[in-house]
Parts: sequence; C-alpha cells; structure tokens
Amino acid sequence: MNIGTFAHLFKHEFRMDIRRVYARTWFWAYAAVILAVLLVALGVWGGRRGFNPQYLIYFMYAFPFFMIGVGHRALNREWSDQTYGWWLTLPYSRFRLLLAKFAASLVQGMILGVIAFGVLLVLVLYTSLLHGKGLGEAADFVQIELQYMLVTAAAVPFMTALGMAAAIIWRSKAKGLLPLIWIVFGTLGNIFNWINLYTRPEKSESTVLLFQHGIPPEVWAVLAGMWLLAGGLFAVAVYICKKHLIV
Amino acid sequence: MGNAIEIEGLAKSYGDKTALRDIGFAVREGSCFGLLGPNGAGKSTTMKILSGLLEPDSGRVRVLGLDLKREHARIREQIGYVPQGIALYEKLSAADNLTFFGEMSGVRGKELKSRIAEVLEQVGLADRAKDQVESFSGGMKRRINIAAALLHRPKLIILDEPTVGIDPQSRNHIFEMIRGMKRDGVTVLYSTHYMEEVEALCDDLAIIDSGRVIAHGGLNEILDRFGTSAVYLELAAGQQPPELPGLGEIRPKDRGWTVETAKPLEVLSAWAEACRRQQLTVKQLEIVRPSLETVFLSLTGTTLRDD
Repeated sequence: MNIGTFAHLFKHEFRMDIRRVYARTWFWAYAAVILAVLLVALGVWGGRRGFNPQYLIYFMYAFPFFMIGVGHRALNREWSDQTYGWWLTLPYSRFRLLLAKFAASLVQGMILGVIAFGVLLVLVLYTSLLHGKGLGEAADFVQIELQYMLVTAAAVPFMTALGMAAAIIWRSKAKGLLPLIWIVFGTLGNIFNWINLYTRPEKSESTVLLFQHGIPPEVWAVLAGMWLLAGGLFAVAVYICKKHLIV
Repeated sequence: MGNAIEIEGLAKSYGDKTALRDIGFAVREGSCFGLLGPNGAGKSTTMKILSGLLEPDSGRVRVLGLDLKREHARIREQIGYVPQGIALYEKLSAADNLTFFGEMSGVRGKELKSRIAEVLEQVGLADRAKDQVESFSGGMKRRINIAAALLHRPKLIILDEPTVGIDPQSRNHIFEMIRGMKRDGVTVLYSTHYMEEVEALCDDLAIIDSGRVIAHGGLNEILDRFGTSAVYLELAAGQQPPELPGLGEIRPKDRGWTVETAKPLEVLSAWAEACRRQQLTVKQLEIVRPSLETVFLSLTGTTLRDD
C-alpha cells in the first residue's frame, strides 16, 4: 500500500469531522452548558454522604456505542454530501478507502476517549478538593476509570466496524439484513454483563468496579473474539462496497 | 488519432432489470462526445461504469488504451469525473474542497496551490476561494465540481448532465470551459438531455435507448441519416395554410405550420404558389434543417419515460 496516499486519505477523513464539530457553535454551547450544570451539581451535592464520584464513570458505558455513530457517520457523510460517486471513483481500492475511514474513526475515538477521561478526572478532582476529601478518592477513581477505559477501548474497533458495516449495508442490496444484525448485536451486546454476573458471586455497594476480582480471562477471550468480528465486519463492508452497493 | 474510449458488448443488469444490453461505441481522442437518451435508457449506468463506480456484468471497455477491469486505478488517475449530483463537502471552503480533491488525485504542494488558483480562475470563482461551499448557488457549486475534476489535468473528462438546474450564465461558462478543454486536446464525454447542448458542443454522439445504442456517429452524419427536412410556413394572423395534397402532413409548429418531407424544394414551391394564388400574406417560408431533437424523438418515440 502506498503510505503517502493512505496518509492523505486518512488526514482527510480525520479532519472532516473535526472541522464540522468545530464549526458548529451549538455543539460548543451545549458542551459549555452541560459542563456548567455538572460543576454546579457537584458543587452542591458532591459533598453529601452517599455520593460516589465513581458513578460518573457510567458515562463511559456510552462510549463504545458512540463509536458506532462515528463509524456510521464516516460513511454516511459521503451520501449526505452526495460525494459518494466521487469518493468511490477515487483511484484507490475500496479496501483502502474504507480502511482510511476506519483508521480515522479509531483515532478520533481514542482522542475522544482520552478527552472524556480527562474531563471526568478534572470533575472528580474538583469535587474532592471542593469538599475536602483529599486526593485519595481521585486516586481510587483513576484506578477504576482505567479499567473501564481499557474494556471500552478494546470494544471500540468492533463498534466502529459495526457502524461502518451498517452504513454500507443500508446503501446496498443487502439492506434487509440490517434488522437481523441489530437483533444479534442487541443480544450479544450484554455479554460483559453476563460474564460479570457469572464471575461475581457477591455484590458490593461500595464500588462500581467493573470486575472486582481483576479482569477475568473470559473477558479477554470475548475481546479477542470481538476483534476478529471487527475484522470480519470490515471485510463484509469492503465486499458489499465492491459488489452490492446501490449507486 | 486513436480512440480515447472503446466499448464493445457492454452489459449490466440490476437484478431482473437489464440496464445495458449490448452497448458499443468509440470516442475519438480530443473530441467532445455526446451521450443522449431518455430517462432510464442506460446513460448514467454507462457513465458510472466508465468512471469505475459500477462493475459491468460483461463486455470489453478500454479507456485511454487501458483495460477498465484490470487497470481501473491507472485509468482513474487520468480522467476527471463530474457526477450528476453536486459532489462537494458543503462545510468546507471552495479552496479546501479543491485541496482535498487535488491531493486525492496526486497533485500536492506548490503545484496544487497554483493549480487551485488556475482552475478557480478558469471557473470564474477566484474571488470566492475562501467562502464555504454551502453559501454557493447551484451554478457555482457545479463550476467548483468541474474545477475539482480538472485539477490533475485529465486526458479525459466525463461530465454527467453538468447543466441540470443551473443558471444560463453558469451554463454558458461551462460551455466555454468545454470548448477550452477541447482546444487543449482533452477528450470530453458529455451526457445530457438537452439536444441543443449536443448540437452546440459535440462532434460525435450516441443515442441510447432501452440499454442499446440506436444511433452512433458524427452529428451531421446522424442528422443526414435519420433526419428529415421540413418546410416551415408562417402567415398573417387568422390565415390558414393551403393544403398540399400528396406532399405531406401539415402540422402546427410555433406560430406557423410545418411539413416534414424528403422533397423540401417541391413543398416550398407548391406552398409559395398556393399562397400567391390565394393572396395569403406570407411572413416566413423556409426549408428547415432537421434538428437533433426531431431525430431523437423519431428514434426514441414520444412516450413519457418517468423512471
């Protein structure tokens, strides 16, 4: 593969969403309002007994699902801008075109994940310092948040590939398969909960650790399976893009 | 001079629906070739196959001496494709769009910057380079779209109905650009519904209907082969045209009447004589050259095509 060309494709894909988000003032307005509300809420209620800053980590659950949207958007954009006819006729293989989108989506996801991690950490530090709880709470938080990050980040390639495959299937002759894909995903999507329930005999109220006794080997097996599935979904997306797209 | 495009036995189906049955034509290097046909005739499918958007089911296609199936990427590097819909990133400026299109076509660095300035000048939008494309009119967007296809100095440019929905000024500007491309030796493949555009721009053409080429050749050759001359008569208000027994059917046209005939001189003389006898006031009486529109309608019929 010509790395120079791929780098240009990747750069384009990567920049495109950043520019769009950057240009949307309403996005920044919402972000500022949500942050302000969180700061006020944590300032008022963050010091009460029973409040556990680790609850903020539940936000991280949304992250892999958000990546479905990122992957989907990367492809759907070509249709909403009517650029698909041009994009598909670039002098590169469909594999390379899709790989550039996949790679750009993954990097965007990683950056967003790190930003989310940073914002949550700042919020916890703010709460701890404001209510005189010291840095110990923040240290605990980092340990737990890292575990969440690790598991959610590992799921990102699969979710991104799923979003891309869904977008391509929607524009293809195989459109009828889409509900089936979502049903299978909805059923298997709770796999971590099944594993968690199976490997955690007692429940604890004091912690929101995803896996209290360390990450069980089943999780790694599932993640490896998800990476394989991600590769499979990506291959399906390339195949459909080559042979069955409605253009 | 050789052929820029050679197509033989091209076929394509969408499920049960056959879009192309046995398409075959050749486009001379440096010429402007018009692809005409009613809706659903197979024009867009042919254009999409040539640009690499679709794979054909069968047939042989050579573009710029290269086999389309095996050397698509090399072909794409040498052609400029302007799809039917406006294909631009609306949130980006004209210059940013062109930067991206240029980079993807292998033009980089200083050369790209100077090419962007050149093509923006060429399409008459040099002063709007930094404006977001979403603020442009349809005609301006179309011109930027064409500019994007020209950045890498293609040898062949494929224009799929480039004048649909644009203002007369932009249309005229696009015509001038196409004439300029021809002068520079670029081969142009031009698909349109507008006959007058083909008459104004194209050297050769093919008329496609129901997935088949029904006429192919030079513009004059097609007019001579399939067209019938006509005689046009316009009289003072309220007057009716004299009958022409045995010379042809009189049909109303514009503000007068017309008779399609293989013997235009005879009809003209007969009508002139009859008008003099009946003391009618003739405002216009002339032999009319067959138009591409009449040829097109005679070949493809007048039934509405809505798909």
